[in-house]
Amino acid sequence: MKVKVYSDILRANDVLAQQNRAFFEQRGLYVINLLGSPGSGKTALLERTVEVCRSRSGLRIGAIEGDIETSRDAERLARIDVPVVQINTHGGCHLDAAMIGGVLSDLATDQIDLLVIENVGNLVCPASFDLGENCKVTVLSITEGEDKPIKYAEIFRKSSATVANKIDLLPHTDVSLEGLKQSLLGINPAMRVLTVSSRTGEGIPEWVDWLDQAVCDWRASRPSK
Amino acid sequence: MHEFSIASSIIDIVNRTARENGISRVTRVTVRVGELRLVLPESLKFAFSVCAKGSVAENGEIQIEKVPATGKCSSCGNEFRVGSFQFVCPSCGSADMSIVSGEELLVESLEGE
Repeated sequence: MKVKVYSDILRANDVLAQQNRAFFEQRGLYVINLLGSPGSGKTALLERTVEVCRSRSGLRIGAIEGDIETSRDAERLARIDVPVVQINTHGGCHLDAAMIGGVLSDLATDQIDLLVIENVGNLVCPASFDLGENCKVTVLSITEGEDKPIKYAEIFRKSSATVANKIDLLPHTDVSLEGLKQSLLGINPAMRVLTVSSRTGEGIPEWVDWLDQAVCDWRASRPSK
Repeated sequence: MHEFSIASSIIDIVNRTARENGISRVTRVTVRVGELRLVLPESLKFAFSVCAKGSVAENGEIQIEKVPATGKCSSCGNEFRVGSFQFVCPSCGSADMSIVSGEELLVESLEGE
């Protein structure tokens, strides 16, 4: 006997992601899934972004921190008064929609305009697991090299923007920023590429402006309540 | 990647479907896997054999149908094979395109008695 099934294997995660999406939508939260290699500078970028946002745009940022172990990243953000929740996967290499769903009630949603979910450092698996976000942004340290995008194409294909970080270290490498940009745009021509240094602050205002515009465009597109 | 997690989900679907259709022994499960899913067929077969133990699909075969990645150009309408993750139309060079196939990950059918 043969039975046609046509059942999506990752449907369980997709269903939960949609539930998360509805939660965020109801509360007017714009959500970014922040991805990148371990050490690409995701948390430092977030710290600098919060600082500049407060003076430049007034966007209130909240965060969900994902790490295998420790609450160090959440503690860094808490020290600068960011509403933050830490998730420890205890071995899991990516966040999934169920994990996000499990902490929604811990979020101070009335204090947040933009929620950044900082995923576990990993350029492979997180690309496949919808968390309920509005978009994915990948942080790429220039020290990772120009050919990183073609080696890990899927995550860059799915990202709305790539933040090329640590540009202050360019003089110490053989990396060409133009070469890196071409590598990224070859995989995803619609992607916005931002070049920053979280350490010096260079490029951060342009990144904040991109975030601001993304949130504004989204608010304008929502049916008025 | 995550072949064990995927195999576990396949077994859940197979158990449920077998129950709904009065099947007590599943001999074959056909799965469609798109190229862009980064799933290794041999790893998935191994994971399936492990996860199927004790289930209605124990000793059953998994048949994996690989679906190539193809895209359609929004500028000239050309449909093309997406090779080496280069998402650019080979006909007109436009990067304004959509994925037609290659993202599937589903249990298509099962056979049993």
